[in-house]
Amino acid sequence: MVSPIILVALPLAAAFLITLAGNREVARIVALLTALGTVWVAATWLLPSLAGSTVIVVGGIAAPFGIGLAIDALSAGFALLVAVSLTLVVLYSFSYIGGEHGRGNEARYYAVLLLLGAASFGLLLTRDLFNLFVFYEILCIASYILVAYGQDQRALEASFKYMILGSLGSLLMLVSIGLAYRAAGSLAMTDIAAALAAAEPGYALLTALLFFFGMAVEAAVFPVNTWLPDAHSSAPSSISAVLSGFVIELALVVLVRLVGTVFAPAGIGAVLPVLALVGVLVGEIAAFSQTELKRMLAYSSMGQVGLILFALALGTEAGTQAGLTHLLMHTGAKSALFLIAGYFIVRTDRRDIESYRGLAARMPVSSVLFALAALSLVGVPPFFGFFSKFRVLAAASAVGGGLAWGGIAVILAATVLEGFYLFRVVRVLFERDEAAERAGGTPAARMELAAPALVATALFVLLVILGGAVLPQFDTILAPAASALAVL
Amino acid sequence: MSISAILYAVSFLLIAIGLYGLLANRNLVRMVIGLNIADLGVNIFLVTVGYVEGGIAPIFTRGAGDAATGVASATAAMVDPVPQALVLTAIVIGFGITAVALTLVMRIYAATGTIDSSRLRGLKW
Repeated sequence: MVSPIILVALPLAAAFLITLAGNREVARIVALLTALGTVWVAATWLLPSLAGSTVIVVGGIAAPFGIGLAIDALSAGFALLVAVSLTLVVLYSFSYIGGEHGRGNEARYYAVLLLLGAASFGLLLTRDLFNLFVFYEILCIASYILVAYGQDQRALEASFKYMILGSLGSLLMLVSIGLAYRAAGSLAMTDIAAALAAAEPGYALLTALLFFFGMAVEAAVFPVNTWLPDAHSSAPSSISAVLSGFVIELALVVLVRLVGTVFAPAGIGAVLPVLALVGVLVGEIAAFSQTELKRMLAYSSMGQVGLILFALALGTEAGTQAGLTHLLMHTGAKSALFLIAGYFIVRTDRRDIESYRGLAARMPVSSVLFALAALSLVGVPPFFGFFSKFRVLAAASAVGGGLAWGGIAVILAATVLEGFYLFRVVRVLFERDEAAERAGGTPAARMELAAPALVATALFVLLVILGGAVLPQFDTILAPAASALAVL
Repeated sequence: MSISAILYAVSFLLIAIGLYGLLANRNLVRMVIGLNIADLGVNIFLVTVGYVEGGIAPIFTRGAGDAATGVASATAAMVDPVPQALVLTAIVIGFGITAVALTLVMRIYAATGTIDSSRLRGLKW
């Protein structure tokens, strides 16, 4: 079995190779093969890591001198999700970035996308606080660059705004790491956890808060999520799918894990459910009033991430498992929605929902896929979204107490809102465009997603259709992953 | 007042100045400069964490420390090299972010003809 560090090394090396070659065809092939390679590595490590955590030694230098890395059920499972998403997005980009969105340097697009992948895998494996910071920064910088890829005014401004908030966050995170090192004299997470438990409560609290703020920017936790709607809606749709599909969720999982372990002595875990619920409300209400499809989806991500955080922060095994289930569903559904929305924009050259009236006549397959993913996101049975949302609600009611019941009320209200705005989009898509018919135009030609993009999208939709049926199989991974989240 | 105390004070002052510059300015280039000043403050803070009053450079040589206490007495007099290594990495990352930020400012200027954030549509927050 190859070392899991290949997950980081392979995309990193491929990114540099692509930049050196600078050729579009080479970039595509290398990117796809690299993404498939990471799928294979993550898949081979999935079963062994379900049993327990494996420490990874790089270059024969063991801890405490080497950098602490480990792979457990959570890292392996999430790495597989990242790898599969990355593969599908690369496949989608073949036609989307090359044919229809192509103004920038396509080879560099794949290089930066692979850098983002490498950083994501690194964040999952690392057990060293400074190493985490480095991967976090690579992830951030890659995201800024990819958001600005279109180079229109909108994308550039969104990227700058994202960058200012992100850099502010990473700055405070670095101060926190300095404080942690001062207390522990080591950067390994286990040492820092022990040192903070022994430190003064105020010192531990300051360290935890600075770190929390830094990571929360990328995890889009309320109130530092103001960059999200701009960045996710202005980025190329393939990148929106990546950012909404796994990047914020990844930051969220890392955040929850660290707040619950390394920074447990500070006891800031109690504020997480409250922030999560405010995020759900703000996101869903804002999504409801949007007229632009991608902006609506971006605000919906804000709400959905709040829901995932609420479940993860419940503090019970069932809650964590529910959160991870919903995370998996959200990755499938939101990626598919963004990928299809990208082609709606390409085909009509319009971003507002109203101009998609009657689009289902010309893009029937894509519109049906969109509707299926939307139904799952709202939580309509028998789709995956129903099971995952039900799980979150069940876990919350098992916990009981005012906050949990308040959370259930908020989630149900948010579901109603989601239903309203997503069904509105679906209705517009499938409505007959009477104005165009009266004008007597010839029935427009079919203009579905290009073939690779359609395959990639269909696979994401397949996850949300079958997710409920194969939930017991998913649980063999989700249950150990949920227990792994609570330990280092 | 010890040197560490002065350095801690300076670093937090720089972070405060930088954050003020970042948040109070409407000029995008000035915002990037503010970010850089704050970055500098954090770097000084990190180095200060590893500072030992009257310490020497952390280089082991043959016969360092006396025979009785061995290596331990030698390391006690040395400044901690780990934060210095961190700062090197942090400087490189800060450089990378600054490069990306200035590129963005340049492209924004080319696309809109202004670097005043109050005149940019998407930058209201």
